[in-house]
Order: sequence, then structure tokens, then C-alpha cells
Amino acid sequence: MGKIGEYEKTIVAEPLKEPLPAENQIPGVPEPVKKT
Amino acid sequence: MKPQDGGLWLRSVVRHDLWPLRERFEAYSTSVSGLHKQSITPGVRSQDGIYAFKTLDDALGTLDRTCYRGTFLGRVQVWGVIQKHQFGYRAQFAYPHSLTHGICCICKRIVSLKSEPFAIGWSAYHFSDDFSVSGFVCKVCNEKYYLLNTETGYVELSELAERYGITIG
Repeated sequence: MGKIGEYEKTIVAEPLKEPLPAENQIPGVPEPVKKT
Repeated sequence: MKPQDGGLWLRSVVRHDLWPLRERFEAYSTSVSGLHKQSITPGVRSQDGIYAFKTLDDALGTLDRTCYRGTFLGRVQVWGVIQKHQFGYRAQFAYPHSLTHGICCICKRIVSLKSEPFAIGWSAYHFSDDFSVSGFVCKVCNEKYYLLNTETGYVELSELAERYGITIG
């Protein structure tokens, strides 16, 4: 693991909403489902 | 970069995978035979994941600058399970955000894509028609060794950015 150094911690992150690629979507990430 | 389909592709400098077009890049493991890929979540003690450096300096401090083709540097979005390390991350998912710098394949100088002149050249591998390789050169080395048309390089880079939906600079 020399290139990025020692392990520090684990993170679970949601995809960012901004800034985004074209069509205002991160490719491969489904739109949130609205609960009715 | 892979102009096989007539367009340009980004290739990872860490594991040499092509970045998918308008799809998230997902971490995977490969079977011993190399024939099968399986999506994975990067583990704490594994070496799995999509690698990204924290800063430009971190990247420049560890990247192999001896690559004769030259290299682009930029920003990426990472998400999902991320293992944070001292100088970077191993992520479950990623997608490029922007291209910011190039490393001249001759003098290894870092060139800002937004504010400095540069040129991009192409040459085919001799043993295959499938891939071509790019050479990124700064203005000084281009004028000294190549005399490539700089406008062509700017157009190609813009086309690449448009294909991925990313920005330059």
C-alpha cells in the first residue's frame, strides 16, 4: 500500500449531487425513489 | 486512451483500466484465470478499490513520471465504501470530474491545461491495431522536438471531456 500510505479509516459516502456530469446525473447512480 | 471506436478514452494510471463512458467505475476483483471479474467492496486490509490521491502533490510524489507517453491529472468523485489512507483513497465507485494538468512526456514538467499551451500526439502500437497511445508535450518540447498542431490537441481534449461529461481546468 506504499503509493497511498498507511490506512486511516473507513468512510461510507453517498455520491455527490453537484457538480455533475452532463444531464445532471452521475452515470450509473439511480435516481432516488419517492415514497408514496 | 483508446480510439478504437473513433473516440477517446481515459485510462487509469494505477491499474491501466479504461474509465467507462458515462457509467460509474466500479471496483472489481479478477479471478486467478483472469477471465472473470466480480464487483467488490474495498476491504481494510486489501489492496482493492479505485485509487485516488488526496492532492496534486500526493499524486506527483508517487506517480511514475518515467512514462514516455505523458499523463493527464484531474479530479474524480468517489463514493460508496471508501478506505481512507495517508495520501489517498481506495473507493468502491468513482467517476472523473475534471482534467486539470498534464505531465510532459519529454521534460516531465507539469502543465496546467487551462492556462498553459500544450500539444497531444498519437502513434499506433506496432503489434496491434486495437490501441493507440498519446503523447502529451509542453510548448517548449513541442517546438523543439515535434511541431505538433496545438489546435488539434485542444479539439481532441475538448471531445474527450464532452464524451465523459467532464470539465477541463
